[in-house]
Amino acid sequence: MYQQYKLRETISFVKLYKIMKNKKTSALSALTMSAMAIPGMGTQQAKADVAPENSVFSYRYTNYQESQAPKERVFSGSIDRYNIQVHQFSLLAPIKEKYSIKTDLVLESLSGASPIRNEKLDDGSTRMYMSGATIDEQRVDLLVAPKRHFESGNLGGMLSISQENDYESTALGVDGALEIFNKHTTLNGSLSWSRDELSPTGGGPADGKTKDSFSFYEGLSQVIDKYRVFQAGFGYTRHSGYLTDPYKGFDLRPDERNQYTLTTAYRHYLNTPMLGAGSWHLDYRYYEDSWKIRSHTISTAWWKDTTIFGQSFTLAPSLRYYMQNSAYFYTLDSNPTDEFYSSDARLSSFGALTFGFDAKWKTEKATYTFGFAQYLSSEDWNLLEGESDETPGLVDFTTISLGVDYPFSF
Amino acid sequence: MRVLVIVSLLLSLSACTQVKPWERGYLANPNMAWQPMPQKSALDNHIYFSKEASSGGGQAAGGGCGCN
Repeated sequence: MYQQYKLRETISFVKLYKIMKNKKTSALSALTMSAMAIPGMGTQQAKADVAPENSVFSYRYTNYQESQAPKERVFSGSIDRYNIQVHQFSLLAPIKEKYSIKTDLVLESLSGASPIRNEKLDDGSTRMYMSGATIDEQRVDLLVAPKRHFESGNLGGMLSISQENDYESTALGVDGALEIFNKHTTLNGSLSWSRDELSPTGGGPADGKTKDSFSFYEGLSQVIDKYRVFQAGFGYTRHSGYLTDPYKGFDLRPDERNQYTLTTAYRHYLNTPMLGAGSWHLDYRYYEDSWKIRSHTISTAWWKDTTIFGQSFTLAPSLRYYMQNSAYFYTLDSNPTDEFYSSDARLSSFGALTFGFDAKWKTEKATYTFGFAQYLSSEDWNLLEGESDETPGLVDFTTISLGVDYPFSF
Repeated sequence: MRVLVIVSLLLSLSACTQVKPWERGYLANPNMAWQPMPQKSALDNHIYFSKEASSGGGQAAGGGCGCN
C-alpha cells in the first residue's frame, strides 16, 4: 500500500512538472491555470475536495446596527447611522457524482444616515456633516457557482449580480484547486472580473459612470501533520474608472487603485488542560494599495464541540484586530486644493477591535446557528502610528445573527 | 531558474509529516475548516469591505456594491 501511495505522489508531481515545462506557459501562469482549488478561504477542510453527498439549504438573518454619531460633533444632519437587515439564502447541491452548484441570494434593507464630509476646526476638533433624510434602500445580490470535481481537485466558475437603487455590479470568476504530494498540498487560485455602474440618487457627475475591476488570488494549503494545516496566499486587485464616492462632499479620488494582499491561515486541533479539545484558528492579512494605505488584520478563534443538557453544541469565541494608515489624499481641510482629496473616515488612520461569539446547535435534522459581534474603532488604536486627528466619523456597530443549515436529498 | 525555485519549494513541502487517510480524522473535523460558517464569513467580508479601506485576501474579489 505504501508503494501505491508513493507511485501516486510521483505521478502527481510528474503531471505538474510537465505542465510547468510547457514553454508556452510561464511557471506562475501554469500554477494559476492548473489550480483546481479550495476556492480561497473556502469551506473545505484540508482533504480531498469532493462533490457533496447531500444538498444543503442555509438561511441566516442578521441585524446590523451602527452606534449614533457623537451629537456634539455633528454640525448638520441626522445622528442616527445605519441599520441594515440582511437575509442570506444559500443552496449547495450535488449534480450526479462529479458536479455541484452553489446558489447564494442576499436581500438587504438599509435605513439611516451616513457622513457626507468631515473638517478640522481651529481648536483641533473635527466636525461632521451627516446626511439629513434617512435613506431607505434595498439591495439584492445573486451568485451562482458551478463546480466540476476531479480526483485531485476541482474547477469552478462564478456569476454574480448585485443590484440596489443607485448601484449595479456584475461579476464573473473562475477558480480551481490542484492537490499534489498525496493530497498533502493544495494549490488554489481564482480570477474575477466585474463591471459596476453608478446611478446616484439626484443624478450628478457620477450618474452613468462605471468602475471596472480585475482580481486574482494564488494560494497554497499544506497539511503539516494530523493536527495542523496552514495556508498562505497572494492576491492582487485593480480598480479603474469612477472611484470617487458620489455621496461625499469635497471628495475627489484617483481613477485607479491597485491593491495587494498577503494572507496566512493556521488551523490547529488542540487538546488543552483548561479548555479541553478544540480547533484554534489564527489568520493574518497584510494589505497595501496605490493610495498608500497599508493595513494589518489579525484574527483568532477557538472552535469547540461540547454537550449542554444532552444537546450537541459548537461554541466559538473570536477576536479580530485591524489597523490601517490613511490614504495619501485624506484630509480634513475645509477647502482642499490638492489634486485628490477626501475626508471619508474610512480612508483615515485608525484601529478596530471585533469581539465575536458564534454557536451551533446540532440536531438530527438541522443545525441552528447564532452569532454576535461588537465592532469598536478609534483613531488612537493604530499601534504603528502616532496621534491622529479626531475622527468622529469612525463607526462602531453590533451584529446579531440567527440561522439554520438544513441538509436534504432531492 | 524560477521554475527550479518553485519546484524546489513544492518538493520541500512534501517533507512535512505524511498523514495517512485513516489519520485525517482531526483534519476532517468541521471546526478545522477555513470557514466553518460560510454565510457568516461572506457577510463579515462584506461589512469590513464597506467600513474599512482594505479588502480582499483568500480569493479573488468578485463583485462590488455601493455600500457606504
